[in-house]
Amino acid sequence: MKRAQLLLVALGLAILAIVLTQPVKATIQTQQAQLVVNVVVQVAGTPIGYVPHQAPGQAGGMAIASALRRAAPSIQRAFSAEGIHFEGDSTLVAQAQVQHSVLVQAEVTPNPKGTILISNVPNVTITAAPGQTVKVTPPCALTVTVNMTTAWSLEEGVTSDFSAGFPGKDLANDTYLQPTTPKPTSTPYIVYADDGSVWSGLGSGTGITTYCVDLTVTVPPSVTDGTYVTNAIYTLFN
Amino acid sequence: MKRYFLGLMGGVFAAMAVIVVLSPAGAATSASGTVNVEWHALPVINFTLTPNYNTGYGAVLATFGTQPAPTHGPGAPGTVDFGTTLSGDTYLYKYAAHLHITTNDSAGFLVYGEAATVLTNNTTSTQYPGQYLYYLNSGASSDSNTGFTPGLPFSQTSGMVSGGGDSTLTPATITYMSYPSPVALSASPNGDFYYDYQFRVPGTATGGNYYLWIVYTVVGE
Repeated sequence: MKRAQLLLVALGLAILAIVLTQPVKATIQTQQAQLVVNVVVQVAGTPIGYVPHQAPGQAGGMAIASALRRAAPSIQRAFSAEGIHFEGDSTLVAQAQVQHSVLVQAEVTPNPKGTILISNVPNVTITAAPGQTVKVTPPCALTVTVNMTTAWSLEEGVTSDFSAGFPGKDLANDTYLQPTTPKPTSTPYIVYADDGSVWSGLGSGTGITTYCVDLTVTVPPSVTDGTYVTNAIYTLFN
Repeated sequence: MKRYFLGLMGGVFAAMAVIVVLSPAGAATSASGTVNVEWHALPVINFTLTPNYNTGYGAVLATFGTQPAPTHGPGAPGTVDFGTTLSGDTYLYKYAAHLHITTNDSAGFLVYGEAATVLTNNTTSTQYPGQYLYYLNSGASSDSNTGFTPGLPFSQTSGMVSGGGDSTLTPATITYMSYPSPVALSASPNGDFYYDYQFRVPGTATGGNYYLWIVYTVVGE
């Protein structure tokens, strides 16, 4: 009886030790770097309007008006008159524009951890129509590299939805080690703003590692033409 | 008297000449008609660019959760000066630029915004081609953005750049042969646009003072 009690106490202590060590292991992880990759989706589903070329004026025509429908930078006026003669040439309209500039500056200090987590491109732009699914090509167009030779773990996710009607989960990734081949399926990104302010684990290692990230976006049919953007975030811990 | 008569006759002939000139030739057989004339008047555009337009302007390190207090470098408020930054990190600059535009163009206007210069280390003259500065919408007096709020990159202009070769020289200007995609547009004659900037410092950036020029161009629609 006494021995059985001792065994139970020992078993309880062992379970307690296992439970306690898990959060301890989590808390000793320290964030080393965070990488931001800008993902822009250009939604273009409406054909661009065609402006037919104007027929040439009749011989002896009084005037030719020439203007770009969309880009004309001037205000068009009109009036009617009698007995006025004009040459047939069109008139070149001067551009009206106002320009100002602002200087942006920063004092940069070198960071020993500045290159331990890098991507090959800062931005990915995808063009898609409403209701369309588009995968970025060629494969491995985006890479994420961990330049650490000690134990590390990497987490991923997107910060927010593209818009109220365009969830961030509509962006999926097929992430695989370079130089292995892509997987057959893609996994939607976890959305930090919607999914409890957490990231999802991507991988871990003890050496320099490069991941290929093949992005796929599915644009909901209700999304209107425009530019939509979110940030894919990769966070490196040791 | 003779001189008076000659003067009078001269006046009469002159008057007749004027009448002949003003009378339509072959008035009995001429036809009248109308012609439509169109012309273009250049719109008047007033554009004010104000950096650091609201109190609380400045840079914060990209952070989730509680946001740090903004700070700025000595160049502010005349410039958007992020102050001290670390290579590889991302910073948000709050209340970076306010564009106030009024025109008499009822069709509205377009706003173009581009980087006129490559990100340059003024200390070593090293250039960093690429997109490191982003813009995102802000508010006139409030701003909930963080360093992780999605923004759009400023493109490097393909226009002809004058000035802006050094942070202390004349401001940059861009001459366009064709305009790029606008960063904003307005269908009404007047508009205000408020922007924050994000600076993603290159991971390989060496120490020094970095700068680039952003040029905004407003064109009537």
